[in-house]
Amino acid sequence: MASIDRPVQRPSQPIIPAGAAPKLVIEKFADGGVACIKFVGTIDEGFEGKKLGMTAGADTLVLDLGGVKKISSFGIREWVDFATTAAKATRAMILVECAPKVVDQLNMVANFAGGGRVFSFYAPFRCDYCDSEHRVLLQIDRDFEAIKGGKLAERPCLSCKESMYFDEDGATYFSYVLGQERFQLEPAVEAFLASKLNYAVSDLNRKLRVDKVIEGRTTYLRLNGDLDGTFPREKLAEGVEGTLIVDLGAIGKIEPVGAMEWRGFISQVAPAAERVYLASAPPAFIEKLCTRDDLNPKVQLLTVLMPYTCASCGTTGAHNVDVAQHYDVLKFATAPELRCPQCKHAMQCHAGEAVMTLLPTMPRPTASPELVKSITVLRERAIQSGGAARRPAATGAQGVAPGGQLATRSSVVVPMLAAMLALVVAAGGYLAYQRFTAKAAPTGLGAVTNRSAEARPAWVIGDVPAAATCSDAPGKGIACVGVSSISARLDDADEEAADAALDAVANALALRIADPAWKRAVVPIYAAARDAKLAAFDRDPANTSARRDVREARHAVGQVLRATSGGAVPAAPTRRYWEEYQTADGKRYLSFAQVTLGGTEVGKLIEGYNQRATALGATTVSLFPLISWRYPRLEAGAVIVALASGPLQELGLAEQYVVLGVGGRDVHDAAAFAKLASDEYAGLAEHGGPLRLKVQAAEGAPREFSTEIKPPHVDPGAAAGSGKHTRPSGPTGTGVNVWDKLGGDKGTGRDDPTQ
Amino acid sequence: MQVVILERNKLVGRKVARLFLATGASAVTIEDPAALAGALAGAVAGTCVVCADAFDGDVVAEQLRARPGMRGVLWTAEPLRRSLRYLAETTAIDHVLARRDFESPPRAWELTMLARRLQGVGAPPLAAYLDWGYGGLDLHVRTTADRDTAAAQIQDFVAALQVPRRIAEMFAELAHELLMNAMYGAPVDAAGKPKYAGDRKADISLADHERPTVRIATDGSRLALQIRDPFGRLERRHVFDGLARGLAGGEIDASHGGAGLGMMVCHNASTAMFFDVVPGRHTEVTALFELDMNLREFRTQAKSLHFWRP
Repeated sequence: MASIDRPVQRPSQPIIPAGAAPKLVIEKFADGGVACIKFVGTIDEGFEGKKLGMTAGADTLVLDLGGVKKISSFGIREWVDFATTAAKATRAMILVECAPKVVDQLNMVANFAGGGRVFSFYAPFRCDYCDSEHRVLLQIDRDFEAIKGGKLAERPCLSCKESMYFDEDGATYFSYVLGQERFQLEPAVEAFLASKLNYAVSDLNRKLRVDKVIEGRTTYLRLNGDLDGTFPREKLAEGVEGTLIVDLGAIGKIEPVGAMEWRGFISQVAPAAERVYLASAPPAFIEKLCTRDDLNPKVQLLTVLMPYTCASCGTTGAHNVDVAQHYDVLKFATAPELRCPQCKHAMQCHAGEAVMTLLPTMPRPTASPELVKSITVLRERAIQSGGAARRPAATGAQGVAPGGQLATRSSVVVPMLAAMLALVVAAGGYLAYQRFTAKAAPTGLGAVTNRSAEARPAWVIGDVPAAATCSDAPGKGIACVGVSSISARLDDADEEAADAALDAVANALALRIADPAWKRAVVPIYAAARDAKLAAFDRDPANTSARRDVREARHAVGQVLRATSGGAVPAAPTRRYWEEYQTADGKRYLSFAQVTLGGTEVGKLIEGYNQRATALGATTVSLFPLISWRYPRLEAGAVIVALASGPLQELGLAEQYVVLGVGGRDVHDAAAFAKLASDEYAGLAEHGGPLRLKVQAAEGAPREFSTEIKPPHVDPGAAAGSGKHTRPSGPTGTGVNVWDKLGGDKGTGRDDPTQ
Repeated sequence: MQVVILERNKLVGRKVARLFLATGASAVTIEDPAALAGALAGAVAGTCVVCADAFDGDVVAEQLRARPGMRGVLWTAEPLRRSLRYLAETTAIDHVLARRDFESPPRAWELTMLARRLQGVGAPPLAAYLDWGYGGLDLHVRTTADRDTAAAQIQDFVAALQVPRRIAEMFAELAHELLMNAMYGAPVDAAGKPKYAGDRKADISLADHERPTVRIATDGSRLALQIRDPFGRLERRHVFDGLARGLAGGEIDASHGGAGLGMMVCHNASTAMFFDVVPGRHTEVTALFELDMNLREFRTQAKSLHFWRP
């Protein structure tokens, strides 16, 4: 069973290709400068990518990929042809509702998006309880932080309400989208998605926004979003005089309460205004709010948005029909004939009967043609000022905030940005937390033959191979840059740079943990190993073994840091950059990665790693990532920082040992250790049995420490008839991934030598 | 056959040695890469196999280069792309075995199968990949329409196991991919010129002697898809270079009529791939999928790759 998390209602019929049960159905919609192509089915060798791409001309092209089921390797080729051709014919290309299959290809195939940007995509979820699969829509603006964390929280299954889990590896699945910047849709695209495709851009964006332009005695209002109870009729009606033009082209759903507010608004403004003109009224608005009872004598409908389809090129779009110009046709409940802007063929209107019968009841508009034409200009100005108002640097544009408050949009972000810039400048000297020697830049590499950006970005402040540096970021954050060694493969270089940056982050965190007890207990575990490996590498960077040791350790540090950060550390670097060199041995790459953490994340991490938990006399903190320099195979555990007398001391444990498991169960962190150890010991104290701990001691591989705990002597007579029953402990049935419950990722497969 | 096993984990090394010994080979286990040259000092090149984790691939490759005729086998707990460099650069290494983690050995059946075949035993039947009692389908494919029908039947076959729908779709894609290669890429005329590779969009109908065989089978724990064409034209570089390019960044290579990404699609849909080529006689590709893991783990799990050619 499969489902998606929102209903899909689309206004058009599939147009091409024709024929019974086509593998791929393509629908085209257009409105003004925005066009959308929707794909449903299988993209394979039968898809004529280039041909379709050449017809995709638009200012902004939206690709709706939610219905893509399969993509073959030949389909990939055709698709890349399509995307690159279409990208050339458009100013911007946005990919929405990318199906998991599309996300896979984005992650794997170079230039699959053809320069387009992914705005939304589906994440696959699975419920093991009812054996169902679901898709959850994620948006780059709304869900970026969750995506950056690499993990999605479990959520109630849409079928059985039990817990369903994200059925993918976050680091892999989000790798492409994390490589692009977080962005918001332009208002025109937003409006297109919301009103024409019924696409819920986001909870925020669906709310009504009003852009206002005052030009002499003309007031222009552009409504964008759902017409509901938030419609600020009082604010909008305030001070209206002269001519009022209300542009309804970007309106979404019309709620009954919104309709009521609208009627109230018209009754309020009509006495004060000389004339109220409605522009770009969509069919739904006409049906609900342009009946004879609704229209005040001062209100006139200037233009209506009518759905037309071109039978020749298959484009469906909403087109503005000038009521005055076509009044003699409209009065017979007939739509005027329009030509397709794409191919110039005649289009067919498929507006509903209800609308067509209402239009003849409208009065012939008395507005001059100049006023009708001026609406386009006013709309552009409103969109520009509205869009700018949501960008930090804008000032002075007026608008109504989503909550319905009329507000001057002078940005409070400006001083914040200025402060941030000042901090960045102040940090220009780079507080070097990390190894950053004065070695020369890579020599003997020859000229740069390719690079990922036109120029080396400002955040790259050095190019010593395998180096890493950190600087303070605004708000007590950290920004660390890692450099790869010179590598024959770009992907290797990328990975190495990212690992170096993460290692630098971990080291910066260690320096910020002020607790002397933590420093005394944890730092000595890894410091010598780390220094020795780095020193060996510094002495002879060409030594394969030294390089491998550093690389392996950094990789392990990065993995532990991500795994133990609770999502505070992003799954992928914040920024990347690479350079390609042509050398005598072939192409060589130098890669740079920057990982930036905000002050909140840094604080959370420091607190988390220094959080103590005590049980059985042992005070522990969670495994700190840099410990991987000494024990590269540890993924989680609890480090003993203080040990008082008690069962663990008697067992032979010591400070700086890392507890990995208790009674056969893995210890994920200090808190888990305290709980597991206390519970286990309490159970053993009652029933007897071995207390077993898996521990990484100072030397060698992890080993087991165990001792027999004897139960207290119980008088059989006293226990009999007490009525108490004990139940075997074990995982309960809620909120547990069945796979995890079975230990599927812990080597219990049939090939595990221990089985 | 003499096997030298370089494995830093003593327990794993012991288990791997035991598996090789069970097939009649002799085995020596060492833990220190520096000791490899010494362990190989007296080895007879034609009968000696060096095994190690891909992490020690540099050391193994270096020794193999110095000893022509000696074979190498790698195992890995990491993504395959890291091992591909050794496969692409060192012709003496044709096999990478996946393992769950650094503390686990490769799959026992896969290792013993490898050991037997390195000793000269021929390609195993499909049954060798599955537990006794498995069930399966033989599909007949002649035309382009048959190809689509076969892919749909394979999807239905997998879906009938009540596994996640995405797995069924993934296997249908895999079948489509392998069939495209077997039907369009493999057939050549008497002069050795490709017959159908030029136009992958064209509907074709293969002659009897050109038809591939398609088999899908499962024992409930594993799925095996085997597609065999009667031409034997697949070359080592097609597999390793295609995978290396695909996994390194997905650069499209249109020089052979397709996207050059088919190998990557196959890799992404299976846990192990076995390529058996007898030049001029047949190319047999067997893809395996472990049903006892969820897709989340499947994505991060290491994958096996074997290339056999006489």
